[in-house]
Parts: sequence; structure tokens; C-alpha cells
Amino acid sequence: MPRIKVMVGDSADTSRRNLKDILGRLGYQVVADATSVPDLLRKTRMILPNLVVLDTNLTGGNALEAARIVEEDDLSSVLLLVSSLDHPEIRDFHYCLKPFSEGSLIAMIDAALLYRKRVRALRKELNKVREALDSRKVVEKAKGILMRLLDTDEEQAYRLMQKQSMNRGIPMKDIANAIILAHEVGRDKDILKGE
Amino acid sequence: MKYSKREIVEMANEAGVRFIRLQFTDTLGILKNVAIPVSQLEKALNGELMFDGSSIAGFVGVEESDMYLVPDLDTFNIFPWRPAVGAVARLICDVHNPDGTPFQGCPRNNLKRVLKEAAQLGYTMNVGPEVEFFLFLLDEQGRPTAKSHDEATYFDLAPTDHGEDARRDIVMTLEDMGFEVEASHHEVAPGQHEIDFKYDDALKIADAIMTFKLVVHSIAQRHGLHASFMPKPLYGVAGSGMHTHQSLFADKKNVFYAPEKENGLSDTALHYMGGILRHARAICAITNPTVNSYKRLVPGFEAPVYMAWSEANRSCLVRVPAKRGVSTRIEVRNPDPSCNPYLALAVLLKAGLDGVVNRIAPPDPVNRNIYAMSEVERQELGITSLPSNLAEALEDLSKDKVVREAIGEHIYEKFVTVKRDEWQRYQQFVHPWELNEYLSAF
Repeated sequence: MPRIKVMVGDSADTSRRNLKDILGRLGYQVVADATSVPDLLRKTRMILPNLVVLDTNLTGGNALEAARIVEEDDLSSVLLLVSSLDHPEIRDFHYCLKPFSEGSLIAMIDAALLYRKRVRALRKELNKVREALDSRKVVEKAKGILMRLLDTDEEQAYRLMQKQSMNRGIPMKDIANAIILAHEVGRDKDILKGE
Repeated sequence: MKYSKREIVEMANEAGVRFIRLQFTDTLGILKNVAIPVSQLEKALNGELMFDGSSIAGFVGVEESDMYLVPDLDTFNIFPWRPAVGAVARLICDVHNPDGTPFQGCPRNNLKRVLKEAAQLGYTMNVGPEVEFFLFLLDEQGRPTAKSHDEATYFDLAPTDHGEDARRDIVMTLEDMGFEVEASHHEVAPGQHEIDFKYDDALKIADAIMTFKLVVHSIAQRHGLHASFMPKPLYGVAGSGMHTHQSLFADKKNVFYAPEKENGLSDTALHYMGGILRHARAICAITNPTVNSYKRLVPGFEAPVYMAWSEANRSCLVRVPAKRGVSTRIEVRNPDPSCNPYLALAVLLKAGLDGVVNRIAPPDPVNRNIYAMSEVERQELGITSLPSNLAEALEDLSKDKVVREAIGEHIYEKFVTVKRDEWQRYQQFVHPWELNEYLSAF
């Protein structure tokens, strides 16, 4: 199994060193450490670690905002290290309440990594479904145009498009878009007459 | 119109919008926001929301503080970032008086007024800006520095250019928001970038420039960088300009184009240019409105210094790009991105129209590098300079009736008061340069 690449964000020198030591001892590869929010954002984008372990003491900006950016832009998993749960926003993230045992740190890291893996799988699936739906929408629209123009039934219109798609080796969706575009250009011809 | 009120409410609901930012721009070109929860959207769309205008620099006095925000429905847009916590949308607004009339001090209203004058002459103005900016590092405290990312070798991994990455993200975000980005590239100076948008009508472009600055700032911050539109942040390297390509259209035809002429330029184009050149010194006060702006307008670095026009060389104030037909246009090269785009386009258009209406012929084109000419040569050719500082520009503005009319007396008064104060503060300050130069010498 490839070693998990971890980036550490912590503004306090001692605790950052300790954290790096612990993570290294537990078998994680600490690829970089950041001492401020801007530093963390720049390095995370450059290195794309598997996990960012982020102490909320991080200065130079809002540490929670930084965590949010890393997650929103899908740069890495995030695990927050916090001293209290005073800030309700902390609960939008994976977090570990200090002090923690090494065992619970491992558990939290595993949970964060697993979560991202699952979300990514779902997202991939969702994109596939979305694409299919989009394709279906334009194919339906193009079919309607052909049915009206050529006075054919639904099945024949579909068959016509399918044939074009196979003969030309172009996806159905592109054929459908071409038909819609051609139809729209045809309509614009009437505008020209008005000039 | 692009959207109806009902469509906007539907779009907002569908996208899970939680907050709407009602945006307008103050006299100095700073974008202002009034954030409202989505429950207030209908009220906002009806232009029923008020804000305290006295809190905005250069707007109104305390006695007339309740102003209305009247949104332009076509400007509805949902910000592509922060999708996780509920989306944020925006509407660009005009500021109206309590009695419902457009407020004269609102730069967007003012631009609309000047555009209407052009429309009465049968013209619409098309604009295509090229905006330059720097991406600098934020320090450990999150404060902007003047250090650019690509010279900073604080990390010995692959020499990834943070700026390239950020710029790509900026362009993608702009495209998500419906911008047509024509070109985007790294500029001359380290850390400097340029993004050009496709031309559109002047009001849309002024709105787009404001949105653009917001997007660039926001995305840069997400990359741990600071975007600066300061005209000349570093001595000895090129500054950031906002070259402004302009043309007039009538009945959807470009009236700058005259295929029968040898250079393809119509009299309208020449006269427009004549107007810009005649009023250039006063225009500078608006298009180059900061003390720092004039440190960009120095020889070298492809920034204009002299009032001339050319089809080739870039040392002139106005360049005519080679394209003809529908793309025939002039490029005014002095504006910089610290300007208020609503005011800048208003003064450029008004000056150009003054040229068209009064048939002001421009001087002959200068197709030589003016930087390389001697002062005598320049005098012989009648080439004069742009103002060398903000005080000179303000002085020229005070004497130029046309340019003053372009921004209206209300804005003029507020603008000049703030800018004279800015100049005075600069004048009175003892700068590091002076200490370096004199402290040990005397």
C-alpha cells in the first residue's frame, strides 16, 4: 500500500514538530508543513496530499475557511485538531478534540480518508447519471424536431439519428446537438428577411 | 430583458441560494455590498430595499441617508464558489433617491445617462478591456506583500507556478459566470497577469470589470495569494494597465469602419479619436485616479506618456489595432485598473462624442517610437505629454467642461474633494525614497 501523504498546518512550532513526529511514527508520510493559512493553501494546491491535518490555531487568516476551501476545491481530505467545540462550524468537518490518543488519531484519519473515497465514488456516479440525463434531454429535443420536419413517428426519428451516429462514429448527443443547431440557424433565416 | 422576477426567484430556489448580495459601486470605484437573506429577494427585486447612503464615501450627506437599491435583473448571477454552505447570488443595483428618481451620485446611473446621450445621436458604445494585475504572496499574518509567487523559492519541490494555477481557476470561474474570456496570459513582469474579455456594450463591460475584480480577489485568496490592481506596485517593472478598446455602433454596424478609405477608418473614428486626444489630460484624472497611477505613465514599459495616436507603436496614447470590419476599433492605453470603470467609460465616451459632434480632427498619426524622440522633435510634431501627476490631472479636469459634464457636478465635487486630499497627504508625507536620498547626504 502506498504511504499516505499528509500535510500538517500548525502555527505553533512545538506542537507542529510533535504532530509531525507522531504522524511519522504512525507510518504516514509528512510531505510538507504549513505555518499560516496562505502558506497552507499554496502548498496544498501544489502538493495535493491525501490528507491535511490542520490545527485551528493556524494564523494568517481563518483556519476554518481554509479547511472549507481545501474541501470545496477537492484538494485533499481535512482533519481539524481543535481545543474546544465552541465554534459550531467545526462540526462541518472531521475533527479531533485535543488532547487525543494516537489510537483515536488513526481512527479519525481513517474515517476522513474513507469518507472522501466514498464521496468521490458517488460523485463519479452522479456525473455519469447527469451526463446521461443531459444527453437524453437533447436527443428528445432533436427527435421532436425531426418528427415535425420529416413528419415521421418517434421510432423512425430515433432510428435516423442512430444511423447517423453509427455511420459517422459520432455520439448520439452530438448528432442531436447538430440537429438542434441546424434547426435554430434555419429559424434565424427569417430574421434576415426582415433586414 | 434576460430574466423576469419570477425566473430569478426560481433560479435562486433551485440553486439553494441563501444570501443575495446587492452590489453597487461608490465614487472611488469600490464595490459595495448589502447582503440580504433569500427571504428578502422579492422585496429586493421590486426595488423596495433601502440602505444608509451616508455610510458610503462620496455619496450623500446624513440628511439624505435613506437610499433605494434598484436591481438590474439582467445582472443576476450565482457565485460559483462556496457551494457547500448554500450558494450566494448577486444583483447589481442602481441607487435611487427616496422619491424614486435615479441618484446623480451613483456612477452606474451616470454612465447610463451618458450612454443615453450617445443613443440620442444614434450610437451605442462597445468596449473590450484588457485588465492587468499582479498576484503577490500573502505573508504569515495573511497580509499582502509585494513579493510575487514565481520568484519566491521557499519550497524545493517542482517549480509549479502558483500564479498560473490561480489564473486558470480565475478564468474558469469567470466562464462559469457567463464571461467570454478572449485571452489570458502571463505578462511581462514576474507575477503579472492579463485577462482580456470579449467586447460588449459599455454598461455590461463596466459591470463585468467590477465582477472581474471581485472574482480575481476571491480566487487569489483561495490560493493563498493576493491580487493587486495597483497601477505600479514595483519600481523598475511594468505596471498594470487597463487598455480600453472602443468602437461606436449604429444600427448594429461598426461606424468606425470605412472600407473606401485607405486606412479603413471612418471620419467618425478619426473625430472620436480627436475628441479623446483633446480631452486626454482631464480624462486622466478619472482613468488614472491615484497618486500611484502616474508612476506607471513613464517612458519604457509600453505605457503611454504622450498624446498621439498610431497604427503601430505602443508608446502612443491611442493605438488603432490592425483589424477592420466589425472589429474596427481604437485602443486607449492610459487607463489603469484602479479607476472606476463606470466613470472611466463615461468620460471616454463623452470626449469621443465631443470629437464626433464637433468634428475634431486628430493630429497626423505618429508611427515612430516617441520614447526615442528628442524633446525638440516632439515639439515640432506637436506632441504633448500626459499629466505627470495626480495634481496636474485634477487641475486639467477642473478646466475641462466636457469631461466634468461626463461625470456630472455631484460626482465631480465628491471626487475632487477626496482626490485633492489624497494628493495633499502624499505631498506632506516623508517617503522612504527621501530618507535614502538625503538622510546621510546632508
